[in-house]
Amino acid sequence: MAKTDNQIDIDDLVLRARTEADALGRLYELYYERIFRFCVYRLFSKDAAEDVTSTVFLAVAKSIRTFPGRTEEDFRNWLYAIATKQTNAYLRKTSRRNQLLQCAAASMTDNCTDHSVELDWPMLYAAILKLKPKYQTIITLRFFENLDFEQIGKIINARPSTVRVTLHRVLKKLRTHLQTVIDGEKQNV
Amino acid sequence: MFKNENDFKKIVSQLNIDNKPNDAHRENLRRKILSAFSKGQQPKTTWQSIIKNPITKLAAAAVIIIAVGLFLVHRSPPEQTRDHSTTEVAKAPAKMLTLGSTTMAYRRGGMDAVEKQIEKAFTMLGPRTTNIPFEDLI
Repeated sequence: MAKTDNQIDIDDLVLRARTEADALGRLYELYYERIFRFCVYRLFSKDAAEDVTSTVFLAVAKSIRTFPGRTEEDFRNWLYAIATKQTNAYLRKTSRRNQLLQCAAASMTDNCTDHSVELDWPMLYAAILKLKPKYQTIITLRFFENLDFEQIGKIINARPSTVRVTLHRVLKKLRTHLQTVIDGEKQNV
Repeated sequence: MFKNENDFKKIVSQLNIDNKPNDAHRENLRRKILSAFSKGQQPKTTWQSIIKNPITKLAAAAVIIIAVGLFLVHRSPPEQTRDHSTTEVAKAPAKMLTLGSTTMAYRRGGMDAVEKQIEKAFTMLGPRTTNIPFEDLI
């Protein structure tokens, strides 16, 4: 498939960003929002997302010189891989995970009407957070970032077919976790 | 609850998630990354380039350990390299010629050391006197 002019421009930016601060600044502008959004989906809290986004881009600025990729796709996958690593590192601390769960639980309370519970973002997040970090990444990349299996495979270093099968299993698990969260919420009502 | 992948996709698209970034943070971070990038452009010192690579770091550590080892060996050489002088075995000429002393010298340096020890003992005793008084002989 032929590349569009815009894609060629961005490929050129990726190559120039190794030596030119201006090119790096433009790449940052292109990807800041995307990475911030990914961090919000993984961390729920905007403050935590800002911290992790900062860590991601500072890591990019320090190691872009040795980045071996040549295209926009390579750069995007690399960026997501760093963001995944950093969000997992953030969530590794149990105290932080508990804090995020409390935060999500606090946002859930005023969403219940007449003993029926409507699924909202805090509830879904609480259920996602119960999954393994790798599964959380797959769910986020697939449904929140709308990436295909091949792209996800490149980010998490797995084959597209493996991602597809894993996602199928993860959705089953997520359904169970979600049911637990909803049941807990009904009891609170 | 969702039934399949498409169903879940629909639920996610309907969620109300506050993911709007803060412009102040965006600007501040931009300055920080550009500063970090330009810091990385400055030429590295030799020590920085050694520390950066794990192989050179290991080599530097090995060189330091070898240097310290050589220094210590030079300051206090091991037993084998020492000179087996007779003075280490015995100090008085009479004691140098005893069976125990010569055996010890033989163990430390073989026949050469024994000969040296005997020579030294005789040197220390001085030349033999020609006239020995009768009382001394008795």
